[in-house]
Order: sequence, then structure tokens, then C-alpha cells
Amino acid sequence: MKRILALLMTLVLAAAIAACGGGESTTPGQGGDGGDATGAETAAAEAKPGGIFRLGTTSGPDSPNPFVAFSATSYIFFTNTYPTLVQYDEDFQLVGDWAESWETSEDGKVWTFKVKPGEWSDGTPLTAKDAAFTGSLIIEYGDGPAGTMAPYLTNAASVEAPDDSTVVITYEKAVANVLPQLQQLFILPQHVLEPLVGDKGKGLKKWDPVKGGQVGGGSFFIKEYDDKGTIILERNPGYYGEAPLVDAVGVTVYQNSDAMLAALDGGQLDSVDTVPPTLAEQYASNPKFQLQIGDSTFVYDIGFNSNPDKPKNKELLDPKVREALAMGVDRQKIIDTVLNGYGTPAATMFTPLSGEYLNTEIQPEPFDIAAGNAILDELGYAMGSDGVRTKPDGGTMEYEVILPESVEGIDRLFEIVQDGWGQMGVKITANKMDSTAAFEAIGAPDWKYLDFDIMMWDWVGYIDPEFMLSVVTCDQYGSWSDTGYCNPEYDELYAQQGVTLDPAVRKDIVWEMQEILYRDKPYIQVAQKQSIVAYTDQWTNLTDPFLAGLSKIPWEVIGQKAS
Amino acid sequence: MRAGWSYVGRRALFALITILVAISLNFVLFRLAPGDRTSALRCQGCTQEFKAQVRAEFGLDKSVPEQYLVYVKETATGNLGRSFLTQQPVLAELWKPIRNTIPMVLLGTLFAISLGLTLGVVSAWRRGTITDRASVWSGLLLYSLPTQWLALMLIFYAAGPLGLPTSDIADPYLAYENPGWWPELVDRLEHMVLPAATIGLVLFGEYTLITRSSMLESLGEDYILTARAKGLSNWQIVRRHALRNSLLPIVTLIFLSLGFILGGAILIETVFNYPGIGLQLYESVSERDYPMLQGGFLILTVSVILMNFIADLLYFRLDPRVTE
Amino acid sequence: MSPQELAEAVVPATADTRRRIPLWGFLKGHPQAAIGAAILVVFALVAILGPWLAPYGPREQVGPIFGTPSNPHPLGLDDAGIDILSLLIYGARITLIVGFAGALVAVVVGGTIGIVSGYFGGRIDNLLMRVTDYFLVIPDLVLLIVVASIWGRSLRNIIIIIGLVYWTFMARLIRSQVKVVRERAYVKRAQALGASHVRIITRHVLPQVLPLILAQTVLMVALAIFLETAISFLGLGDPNAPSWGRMIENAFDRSAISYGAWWAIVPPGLAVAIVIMAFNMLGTAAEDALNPRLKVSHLLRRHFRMRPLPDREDPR
Repeated sequence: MKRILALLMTLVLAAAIAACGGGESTTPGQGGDGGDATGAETAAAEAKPGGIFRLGTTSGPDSPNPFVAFSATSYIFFTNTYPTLVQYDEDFQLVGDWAESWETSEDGKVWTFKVKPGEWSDGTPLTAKDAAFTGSLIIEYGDGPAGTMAPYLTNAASVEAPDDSTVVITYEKAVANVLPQLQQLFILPQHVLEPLVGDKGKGLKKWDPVKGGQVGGGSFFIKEYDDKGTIILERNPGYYGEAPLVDAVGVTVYQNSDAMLAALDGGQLDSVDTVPPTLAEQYASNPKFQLQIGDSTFVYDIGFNSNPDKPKNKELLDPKVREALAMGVDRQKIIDTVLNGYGTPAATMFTPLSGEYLNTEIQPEPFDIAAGNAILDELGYAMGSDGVRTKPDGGTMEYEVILPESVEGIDRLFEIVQDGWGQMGVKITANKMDSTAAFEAIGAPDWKYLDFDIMMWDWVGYIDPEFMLSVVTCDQYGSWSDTGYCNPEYDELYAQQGVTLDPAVRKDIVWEMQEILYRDKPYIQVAQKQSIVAYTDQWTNLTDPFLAGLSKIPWEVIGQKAS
Repeated sequence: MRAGWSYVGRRALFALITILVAISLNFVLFRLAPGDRTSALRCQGCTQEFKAQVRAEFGLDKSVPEQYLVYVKETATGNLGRSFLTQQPVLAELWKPIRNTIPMVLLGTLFAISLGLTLGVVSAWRRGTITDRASVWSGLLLYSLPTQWLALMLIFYAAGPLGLPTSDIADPYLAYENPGWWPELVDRLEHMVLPAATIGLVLFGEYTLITRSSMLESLGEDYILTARAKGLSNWQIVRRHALRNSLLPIVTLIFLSLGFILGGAILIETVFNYPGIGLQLYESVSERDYPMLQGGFLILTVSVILMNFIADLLYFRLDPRVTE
Repeated sequence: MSPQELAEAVVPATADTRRRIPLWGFLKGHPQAAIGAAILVVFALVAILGPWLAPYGPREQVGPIFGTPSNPHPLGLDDAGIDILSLLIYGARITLIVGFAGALVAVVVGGTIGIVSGYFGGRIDNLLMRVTDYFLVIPDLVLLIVVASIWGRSLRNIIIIIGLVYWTFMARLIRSQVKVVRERAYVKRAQALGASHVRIITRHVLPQVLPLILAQTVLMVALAIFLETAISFLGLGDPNAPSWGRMIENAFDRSAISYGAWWAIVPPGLAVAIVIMAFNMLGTAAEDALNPRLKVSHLLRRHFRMRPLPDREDPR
């Protein structure tokens, strides 16, 4: 979940940028530059070099080691301190980053990349051999210690470096989303890591990259690392791309938004990654700040245990019951109360950020208590005298809902759903716990998904739909699955889209998959939470106000205002 | 003083046994929690075999009694294991937050003592007057306030006017600019003031009451009357006799409370975003980071036991009525 | 004030609480008790009459998020647009229930152990006191966090946790008193006459200890409320129970500070403070009546639950 958060960040940024083009973002009330998200129009020349760009976040990194890290912010650091072959640009297109150019073999199984010359921050040359080393590590230990990076080289057979500037990746079969995967493949310094690998890769997880100073190969390297305080990235003089204007970037981790916003107000920060929706207006109307609002991939959802083997409350497996319940969810009230209006109703797991993959034909179920009541009446769940429906074979429609405490606004979300379902004769109580316990409770017992009935959570996906589609496949039991949904028909389509190279065909498959999910409803998708980002207007060309884990921030144009 | 040494010995033994019990019960406590580190490992590439491998690596696959023995052995040698989350040694990971909390707590205790002692003396001297009542009551009132609420009030109303920062322990960019140790020290102190003030405000009531009671008792003693008859001034009486006799209970109180404040500061640390031991443990719970939790708990309980032991010794040394 | 009394809050051997203390006389003689009692009566009434008194429902959205205090809503609105005054009224019930129940658990458990330990003495006493000692040194809030995560966040669990944390104090206190009572003439006589332990405890020991227990219970309620507020603030409170502590937590989580919505934070905190103070006033006065020399024990309770300094007799 947290790793996805990282993607969220990136996507949020990317969203902000793309949103500008898509007309969804609003930058209320300021004149001058910075309001327009596409920096292309604003002259880059206005920025002066130097200075430290200071960012605030409430979700901190958990580890500087890519084989250990899960939190979003960690990925942000990786993206900016380790080379990647390709990256997303402002228009959400994948373009070459370290790779200058590439070609694919006819059968799509061999990819050859030409990479730019560069240096690691300690002066050692950055070559294709580092890529070969990293890739081989992942292929060899992907089932074990290198597991976290395995998804970026799925079905890869080998990564080789015939010479210092050529990287050759050979796949066992043609993979549809090679580039989106490679966008997250962080190339690690062979000269630092190789001696530490250890027997069967045991040393990979124990590696402390910042001890003695991190060796970075991206536009920055980590100068100071304090995962509960501030992390400072300093410019890497040997960077293969265009040098950043700033001397350094600092990221400070805060325990809560108030502290972070106080720092922003007090001039100790230049930007924050999220502004709580309740405060958006305050910042919008404050001339000292710029606000950017746009789509994200954050979607609140209500999940039903979809394992047909679950022994109790089997009525919740019935799609008609789920449909009735979906009609009891007042999405608009949720958006108004929980998100203070900064959100949109959701019908599938995707948001506009996924581009054409979002199935726009599917609409959220209407909020209609009467209609929901009618359905439940018809199905034979008689309303009891205490206002709770009874089941024909005994028992009442009373359920416990698992709530992870880490999701912002989950309390109020639950209360609104509770009120709505209460009017339909379905009583729910909250069982709030921390994320680890919540996930355990969902999978209980022992990842068989037999115990729980309902849960509420959120998902933050990637731009490429592959990951989100995968979480409801059968082999995600015990891994990412939080509904116990397992449908062979769906899984087949999933496998298909993974190898369909024609985007139009792939899109059709993905649309069909969304329809299946809408019909079966392992989730009731509730609402998309828009991203709200704020930054001071002393900085210019800030198309991405925050360090993104996925998309490359144009550090070469972001700088302090010259005037 | 044979009686003395056997007393010390007995207290020491008692402390050691309690530590052992603490270690054992620590272990039990954290094994009862549902979910272990591997459940938080949701990664796409993680097969069940891999999770089994991780479990084996952390020794989670052994039987519980076996794990217990391993734990006791390692703890005795100072190895508190490695954090599940960061893979780094627990002791090193805990040291930083503890190092953050201690000065803040000490400063807060200092505030409490200064204020409490002053008010206590004044109250005792002016017994029955409005000053007396006001001192006692203000202490009581502040003590009754929910700590986190008091902290929030300070943020709301004191931080702005006083120009004090309300989070973290230092300005993160100050160190990067390398201005020298004095500005850095001042910066640290500025960040410490409000959290410490919260502690001080909450605790001073205790010191007031104890000082007051103790002084009242002493002031009633015969030798005070003698001193007065001899013509010593009020202040001299207070200083030379009454205060000195209050020393023991106050010092005992200090040590007793120090042991606990370390762990109890979590409410303050949460509000002020202060990266101390309380906050660290709170995080470790959500992460099911057993080694960190066990280590942290152990350190806190040991510090309490130690402080109590010191209080015992002081009591023995300082109380004129105990020695024969 | 000797450290002995400081640490043990012991009732000196001379206090014979068989003397009845008339309630009215007590209140008259201790004005602070009267004030405390009056405040508590008011809050209790509010708690009982809650749903009838509250102008709006606890889930009823009546305005915008963090609506400012204005005429129909003198205390403003919280982060979901709900009337804060109404929330305070509904919250009184939960807060008081948790306080009393938690104190009850602590008293029952602690009292039992204290009586058993004090009456039988010897090895039982030693064993029980060692267990008590361990509980005394555990950092209570941290323990709370761990246990709330293990057992889940429900009102019932919070009450149990509070009891688990605070029984130690009651145990030691009652033990000391029982030890004193045990030496009294009438107890010795009853033992000589062959009365069973149970009979002696219920007929002779308990009545002597009861007033002390009651006085301490009152103080314990204050502690329990304090703890519930703290737990709720850390996010470990019962999500289905809108206590005052939860009101503070909700406001804090939803950026009330940055918003400037002091009305979402000040009233619940003040309510807690006033109730705690009232209990403290009442309890302190009761303690005074029973033992005039005792003035500070209640404060020490919270921070280090009466950790045991040795009895005077031990070192010799």
C-alpha cells in the first residue's frame, strides 16, 4: 500500500501537469507565472540558479535501500538519485532518460538501449555494466531478497552490457509494458553493491546505502539522510542529463499536516506535497502561495470478501445485495464532507490519470435509498422491528467493517456509509486497527480470506493499469489481494493484456475487465481524492511542486525567481 | 555499616530480578500481537516461499520457547536484534530518539522543579492566604488538563506570540548551512522550549504540593522555633532548615518521575512532532517492528527500575531518620 | 512529610475509620468537596439526560466543516459540520462511563489483590507484590498502545486496559491499610475465636478499608478519564464511541490547528479538565477526612503509581 503511495505522489505530480493540459486543474486566483502548469509557455530563463528547494511531506521514507523500501517517499529519492532508462515527461509520455535511444527486436523479446555517459557522485564512471549488474541481481534473486524490484523485469531472461554504453535486455516472451516497468528500474552502483551481495543475496537487504555517504547516479545524490527529519539531496556533478538549477533539494518529514503547514507558512518550506482539503481554500486565497489541484490515482473503496468459501454472511456474496448496498453510499456527501469538495465520484479503480484505459462508459451506482431498499425487500430480507433487516435463514444484516487507521478521513467515510446503510436496514460497526493488523484481518485466517465481511480502504495505482488490475487476480492471495476475489475468466483477460502489444486492443481488454469488476463488485469504488499541492511563489517553473517518484521533475528549469 | 550494605545489596538484587522479569514479560507481550513483519510485506514478487525465507531469517519460524531463549541470550549480550523495518541494529536505531527525548524531558523537569519549589515555599510560608490557595489550585488545574490538549493550547496561543517553532527538534536546513555550534544550540533550545514547557506545566503541581507539605512539617518542628527565638530571619530559616529537610522527598520524587516521563512523553511528542522515544515506539507498533518494540520497552522499564534503585539509595543515604 | 508517606500514601496507624463521617458535615467542612460534588452532579445529569438536552444529533450535519461559533451553534461545528455543543453533551455519557468502569476494574482487581496480600502476608504477599512491582515499572501509555493494537479498539478493551494499568496503586494502598487493620485487637480476637478468613475479611477488614477504597476510587475515576482521553487522542479509542477524547483527536487529525478552529479543541479539553478536577477535589477532601496528614498522594498516582520504597522496618 505504501509503495503505491509513492506512485501516487508521482502521479499526483504528473496529474497536476497533465491536468493542466486536460483542463481539470484549477489554480485559483493568482496572477503571474506559476499558475500555468505547463512550464513550456513560461520562460525558463526567469529562474536563477542556486539555492535549496525545501519540500515538506507527511509520509516519510522508510529506507534508503531499494530492496527494503516500501514507502512512497523512498521511491521519490530513488528516482532522483539512481539512473533509470526511461521516465515520464510532463505529458505523461515515456521518454528516454539515461537511455538515449532504443530498439526492439522483431519478436519483441530483445530490447537494446544506448545509454548516455555519466558519473556516479563519487566520480566513478556510470556505464552499462552497472545496468547489467543490477538487472542480473534482480533476475537471480527476484524470488528472494530482490523481490521488491522483481516487478520491473518480469519475464526477463538476462540483462547484458556488450559495451560501456549499450544495455541489452532479453525477455522470455514479449511483454506489453516493458517501458513502464523499466521506468522504475533503478540502476545501482556496481562498485558499491557488488562486494556486499553475500551468499544467496543475503546482503542485499542489510545494505545501508547512506552509511559513509550515498553514491548516487541521478541528478542528485543523498547528502544527508534522516528519515524522521530532513533528507538533503545535493546535485550530482557527474549527472548524465541537464544539470539542475538548484544546488540542493531538501525533504522534511512531518508527523502531521499542521506542523508541515505551519512550516510552510513560516517560510521554512517552499512546498508541501498535500494540503488537507479543509485548508485548500485558505491557501488558494493567500497571495503568498500557489495552489495546484488535479486528478490523482487515489480512490476510496469499500471491499467485500469475495471468497465463495466464506462460511458466514454469504448474502454479501450476492452481486444484487452489493448493488443495493452501493446505492446506499452517498458519494456526494462523502466528497463534500471528507474531501471538502475536492474529489470526484468513482466507478472503477481507475481515474482520468490512466488516460484511455479508464472505462468511461461505467457510471457510479446512483445514490437511491428507496431503490436499494426495494432490491433488498425483493430478495427476501425482511425489515425487523428494530430497523435491521433479518435474513431468511436466521440472523440479521449486521456486519463489522475493517478500517485501517492510516487512511485519511476514513472515520467520516465510515460514518456516512453507516448512516446510509442504516436507512436501508443494514447495520455496520467499525473495527479500526492499524494497517498491518487490518491487512491480517482481511486475509484471516492465514490468507484464506474466510473471516472478514467488509472493509474500507483506498488504492493508489500506477498510470499503467497493469498493477491495479493484478490485485484482484487469484494469485494475489496472500500478497496484494484485499478482497479474496478470484475469477478465472478475469485472470485470463489479465494475462492477455499483459502481452498484447497493440494499445487499442489492450485498451478493449482492460475495459472489459473493468466491466466484469463492476458487475461482480468485489469493490464499491467510492470517490477519487484529488491532489492538492501548494508552494510559495518565490519559485518559478514549478510544474511539479513535489519530488515525484515516477515522473521526472524538470529540475533543469525549476529555480528561484530571478527578480 | 553492615545493615547499610545489605540494604543496598537487597535493593540491587530486587532491581536485577525485576529486570529479568521485565525481559521475559516483554517477550510475551509482543508475541501476543497479531501480525508479524512478513504480513506487512506486500510485494508483488513475494511468493509464500519468500515470506517463509524472511520468517526464517528473523527466527520467526522457530517455536516460541526457542525464540524466547534466543531473545534472552541476545539481550544479555547487548544485542537487541535488528529492526524489521530498516534492518539496522535496534540499539543504534533507538539511541537517536532517546537522545532527543532526554534533554527535552530534563528541561521540562527543570521547569517543573523551579516553578514548583518556588510556589511551594511561598505557599508554605503564606499558608492559608490567597497566594497559598492560588498556587496549589493552579497546580491542580494544570495537572488535570489532558496533556495533549495543553500542548495544543500552547501551540495555538503561545507559539505565535513568542515566535517559537512548534515542531521537530531543529531547523533542518540550519545544520546544512554550517553556522557554528552556538546558533545550532539556540535553535535546538527554541524547539525544545514548548514541549518542555508543557511537561513543566503539567508536573509543577506535584512539586508545589510536596514542597509545601514538607516545609509545613519542617516549619512546625521545634528547632525552627528555636531558630526564630534566636532571631534568624525568615529567609535564613527557610534556607537553612526547612528547605534542607524537604530535599529528600523532592529528590526522591525527581528520580521516581524521571523514570516514567521518558515513556510518558509520547503525547507531547505527537503534538509537537518531536522525534523522541515515545513517537518511535508508537510507529513501531503499527509496523509490528517487534525488535524495536521489545528494545524500546526494555530500555524504558530498565530506566524506571534504575531510577527507582537510585531513589532507594538516595533515600537511604539522605534520610537522617533511617540511619541508626 | 517523610518519603515513606510520600511513596506509600499510607494511612497512619492511628486512623480508625470506624467513626462515621456524616456526609453533610463532610461537605460543609470541605467546601472544595462541595464544589466538586456539585460539578459532578451537573455532568452526571448531562450525561443521563443527554439525548433530550442536546439541540442536535451527534451525526447531524448542520453546517459547513469547522463552522465558526455563531448563534444557533454557540460552540461552532466540527470537522464534519456537526454541532459541538451537542457532541459535548453526548460525549459526557461515554467519558463518564469509561471513567467509572475503568476505575471499577482497577478497584476490584487491585482491592482483591491488596486484601489478599495484606491479610495473608508471607509468601503470597511477596509473590503478589513482585507481580505488582513489574506492573508498576511498565510505561503505561506504551503498554496501552501495544495492548490496544493487540486486542482491538473497543470501549470494553479500553476499560480493561485502564484497570490493568492502575490496579497496582490500589493494591499497594489497600495492602498497607489491611496490614494495619489486621493487627487490631478485634481482628486478633476473631482469629482466636476461630472465625474463618472469609468471615474476618468481610466482617472486620473490609468495613475498615472501604472508606479508603471509596475515596481512592473517586480519584481513580479522574485518572481513568485522563487515560481514555489520551488513548483516544493517539487514535486508539473506540471508533464507535464519540468521547471527548475522540473529539480532540478528530479535530487534530483534520487540521483544526492550521484552520484555526480552536472551538473544536478547547471545549472538549476543558470539559475533561473540569470533570477531572471535580473528581480530584472530591477525592482529596475525602482523603483528608480520613487522614488529615495526607495531601499529595493523588498527584503522584498518575506519574508513578506508588512505586514501593521499602518499609522502615526492612533495612534492619
